[in-house]
Amino acid sequence: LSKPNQNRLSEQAFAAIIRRYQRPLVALAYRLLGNLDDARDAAQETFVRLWQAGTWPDDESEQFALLAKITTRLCIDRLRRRKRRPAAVPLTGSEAIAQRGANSPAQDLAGKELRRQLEIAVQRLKPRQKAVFILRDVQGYSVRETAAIMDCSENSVLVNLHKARKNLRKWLTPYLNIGAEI
Amino acid sequence: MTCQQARKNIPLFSGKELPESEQNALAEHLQTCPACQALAREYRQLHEHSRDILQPDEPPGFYDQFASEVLQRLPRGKTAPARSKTSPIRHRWNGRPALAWATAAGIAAALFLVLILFRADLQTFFRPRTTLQAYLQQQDFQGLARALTNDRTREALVQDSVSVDLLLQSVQELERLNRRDKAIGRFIGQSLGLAWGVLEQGPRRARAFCLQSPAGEFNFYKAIRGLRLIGQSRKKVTLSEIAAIAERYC
Repeated sequence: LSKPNQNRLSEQAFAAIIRRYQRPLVALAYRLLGNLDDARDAAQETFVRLWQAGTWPDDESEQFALLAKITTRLCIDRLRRRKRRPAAVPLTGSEAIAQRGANSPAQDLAGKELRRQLEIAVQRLKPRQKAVFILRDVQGYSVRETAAIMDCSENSVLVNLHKARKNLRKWLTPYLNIGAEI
Repeated sequence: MTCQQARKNIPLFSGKELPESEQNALAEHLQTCPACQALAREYRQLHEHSRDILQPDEPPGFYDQFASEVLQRLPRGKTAPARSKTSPIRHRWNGRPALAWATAAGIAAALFLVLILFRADLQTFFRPRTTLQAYLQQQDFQGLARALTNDRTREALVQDSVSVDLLLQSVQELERLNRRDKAIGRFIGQSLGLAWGVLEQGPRRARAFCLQSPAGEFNFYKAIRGLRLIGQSRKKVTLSEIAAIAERYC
């Protein structure tokens, strides 16, 4: 991140920032926490932290990166606090996902079931593995961007990503290849 | 590439996170191995479906009050964000004093343990300009070996002038202790070995000889011979003088 803008933001400008980034931040927090109320709270706390720090990069591409960094850190802390409490089953937002290409109905059904199980399995991952998986595979950040958001090395991202995917594959083995067999 | 290596890399294959050479090698392997192909297909399936998971399904009006709620949560007394030294990214133990204290106590305990376990090493490290003579007279060859492997203490040691007999004894004792660390081998072995070569064979041959021979065991023997030869020609010698010979011809 470059040196942030030294100028003070007015409350009006700050409100505009909130409106602009609220949706993607809630989405990120939701993916990490698996619960919409917690995600809303984490996203709001992100903005409060930003206000307290008064740092705001000029570069637009760095603005969301900064917010994502704060949110990810907050969510990892919250996940750690939850400890081994069973994770809430996430909302079924993926039900509304557009169907892919020319798949058969049976394949679509298998795909839906796999996504549903994947959403549940992701909640079982350890906080750092989960964060790396969400940022890289769900949000689509590059390894370098993920490392910058997580404030760690690229190697550490790859190690956690490897573990996360391996665990998910292990837990979801019964649901994999079903669509292909049909 | 073996199947074992392939299986290790497959989780990072579909995301193209492997180095290019490994990515290509794995792609080649997958063309010929059905078992690894099946595994790669499972990971690819996971990868493709991951993009669509966990889409938030916010109820209508979810964001209506979002911004105003944030503004209400802002600390009072401020009308605009001022630059603060506080990082927006709070450290994991902020607001968790118990964790901070436990971490501090853990670090203190670890330091104390290190102090107890490596007391002798620390004493060697902090001892100001310990003389080579002192080590030799006290017959503390373990201490001498440690001091020679430490950059700071070795600097002090090489300035000391000692008799060749004592130096010879120290090299023999070090050899007996089997402390053939790289640092000792490089310093005593190679420099004294070179000194021997210079005295006996001339600088050019000595340099060629030393460049070929590995530091360590072989040069200990040469070092002892070198010391004997130096002892025949001079009464006192310093390690730094010997090192200077080495530097001059290398």
